[in-house]
Amino acid sequence: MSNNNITENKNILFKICSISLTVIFFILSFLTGFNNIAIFVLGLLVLGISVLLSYKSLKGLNYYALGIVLVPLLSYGLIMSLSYFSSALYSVSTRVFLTINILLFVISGYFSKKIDGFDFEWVFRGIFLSLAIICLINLIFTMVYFGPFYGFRLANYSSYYDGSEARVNAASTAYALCGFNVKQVPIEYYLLYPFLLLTIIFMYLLSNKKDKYVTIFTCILVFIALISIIFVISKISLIFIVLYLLFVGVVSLFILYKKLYHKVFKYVVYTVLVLGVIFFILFFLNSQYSLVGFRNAFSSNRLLNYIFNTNRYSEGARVILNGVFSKGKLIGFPIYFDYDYNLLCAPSINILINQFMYGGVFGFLFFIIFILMFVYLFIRLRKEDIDNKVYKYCPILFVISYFVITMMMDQNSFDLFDYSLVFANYLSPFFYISLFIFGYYFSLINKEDKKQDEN
Amino acid sequence: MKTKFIPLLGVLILTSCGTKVSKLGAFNMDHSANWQDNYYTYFDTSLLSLTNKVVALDRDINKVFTSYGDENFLLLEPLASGEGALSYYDDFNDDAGYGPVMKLSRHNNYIREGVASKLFDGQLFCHGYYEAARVQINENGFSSSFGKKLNSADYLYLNFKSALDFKSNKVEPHLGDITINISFYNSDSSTTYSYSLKDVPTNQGETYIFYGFSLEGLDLNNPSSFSISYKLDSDSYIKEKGIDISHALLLYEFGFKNPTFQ
Repeated sequence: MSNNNITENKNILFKICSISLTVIFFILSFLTGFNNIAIFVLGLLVLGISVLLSYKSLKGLNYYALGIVLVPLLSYGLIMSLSYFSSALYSVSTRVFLTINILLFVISGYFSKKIDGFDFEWVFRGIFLSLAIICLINLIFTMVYFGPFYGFRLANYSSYYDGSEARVNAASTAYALCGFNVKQVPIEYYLLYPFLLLTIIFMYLLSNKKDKYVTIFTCILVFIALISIIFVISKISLIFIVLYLLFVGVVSLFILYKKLYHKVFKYVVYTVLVLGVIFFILFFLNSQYSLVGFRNAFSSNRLLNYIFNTNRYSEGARVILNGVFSKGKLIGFPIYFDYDYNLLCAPSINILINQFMYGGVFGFLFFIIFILMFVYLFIRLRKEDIDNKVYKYCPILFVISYFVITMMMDQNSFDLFDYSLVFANYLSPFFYISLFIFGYYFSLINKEDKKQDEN
Repeated sequence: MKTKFIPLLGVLILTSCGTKVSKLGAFNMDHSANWQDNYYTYFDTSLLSLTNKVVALDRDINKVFTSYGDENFLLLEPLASGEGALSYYDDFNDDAGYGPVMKLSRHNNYIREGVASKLFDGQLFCHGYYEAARVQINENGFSSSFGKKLNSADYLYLNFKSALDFKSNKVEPHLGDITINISFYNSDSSTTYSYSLKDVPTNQGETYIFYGFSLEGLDLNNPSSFSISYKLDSDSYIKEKGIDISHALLLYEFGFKNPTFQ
């Protein structure tokens, strides 16, 4: 009788903690990056809960593997917090907490695996719900201020604030939550939320139990995401939207038709990789001042001119890549300030190229290692024998979607009027969510390793 | 009950759509090489239905900068350092400069948004950014909202140039007369107060005209919006030439000393 009571109590405790983790991630998704201390507090709570619930089984963990994994991640954090970029723009506390936060989220993810009854699906519902609420708030404010389909009506208009004109025209801006304020932001930042919310489609397609409530919940959230996208559509954002919907469509097709996946997946990945490398090389050549002939050749027709010459989308990449290998900028800052520490050029829209700006060549390398570790996780997880496909793929797909979005439209400057308010990717809540996911799934792989050894 | 509430909410949202669109400026407004394209003409038409009470101002009576200026028009000449040659007057004698200290946007966050925010940012001179610093209006003028009601202020100041298109018509700088109308509107009252100022010099060259008029004893009727327009009264020089010439009022700064908003 008493034993039953204890187990019941334990079950309730686990449920409460599972719910509180959901709530914490729900709140975390609301943080828009400029408050590293808030992320630290939430990280501490997550770690506290995961240690509290799994402390009995912590001895069985493979700390050696965890240590190896933490080396590149901590190096990334240290480089980013010591780089010229962060020391010029961020406060000491923001930089100190950066490395600590990385540690917190990876470790708490690693420990959370040991919690019985911890359900990642619920955590993701929390995250998706918070994304949907943010989407709705952003949509309502944007519609009240600009009206529906303003992307076409306001294509020739610009915004002003305190006497200065915005860097971009009004059609490529929207209103969105930044912390506790609603601010006018570039459209890329607004689109991040509905784009991430759309990944709930993957969760639904992968799920085995599709009851009425789950279907309704998914439909409402997808509807919110779609109207948030459709109502702000403009000529400029159309390219991003089509590219991203293409990505969502292709992944959904792979989930639905397994044969297609086995046949085509490899080639799709190779094509994307090759195209990525080619573009990177072209952008690098384009950025070199000594190779003006190349640049002129690239921008010989109108479309290529739009991609490679100096405009809003390629200027950042050009300036950053031009300065990468110059003296003293290896962990430095290949982009320039004026005397007031105002950035004279907007960062690029690609998260990989921006790593050069945040942390130089080494920052870039460690970030690549981080992405490669995710690729390794994905490959290993495919071999794992796990029935629940949501549990197996959904979080990883969420992170992959985040990377896909930030590779085409990395949003790092919320302010339309000031270049120097740049929020690097390591201040984004989604970076920490992906670290937690990494820790969790890394622990999952390790456990299987141990079993094999025992056998 | 619920079913009634939903369309009501929809109507509420739809009617309040686009509240900030009026604050935007045409994208190429600031950058057109064609002078005539750069007029800022936004005027809230609902203000026009209000009854107007015109109070004519006298350059010699309603003056602020009396002791030092030529009939209350200070001619500002920007120095290389960006400061104006204004240190002889107490209000200007501040290390931070008159503009940054006195600018209206320090007292009211609402007016920081929109094209008209160029008038409230404390920048009295171009500093080389001609189009970025000024609001160019035609005779019909423009209107702008304070967002809040103005309770009181010591005096009103306006920094401007009046300009003729002398580049295309080869008009030399000369003196002409314009009448500036500054109107104040209270959203709760049907009466507006309009102050007109006559005989303002035009085409003075590189100098800016800084004008202040005292609000002591004048009724502003707690305005929440204002408009500025002007009229080219007489220009003998142009009459002699007999050509149709485009002209504009270039506004740089508008504000009050010690304003209090509700």
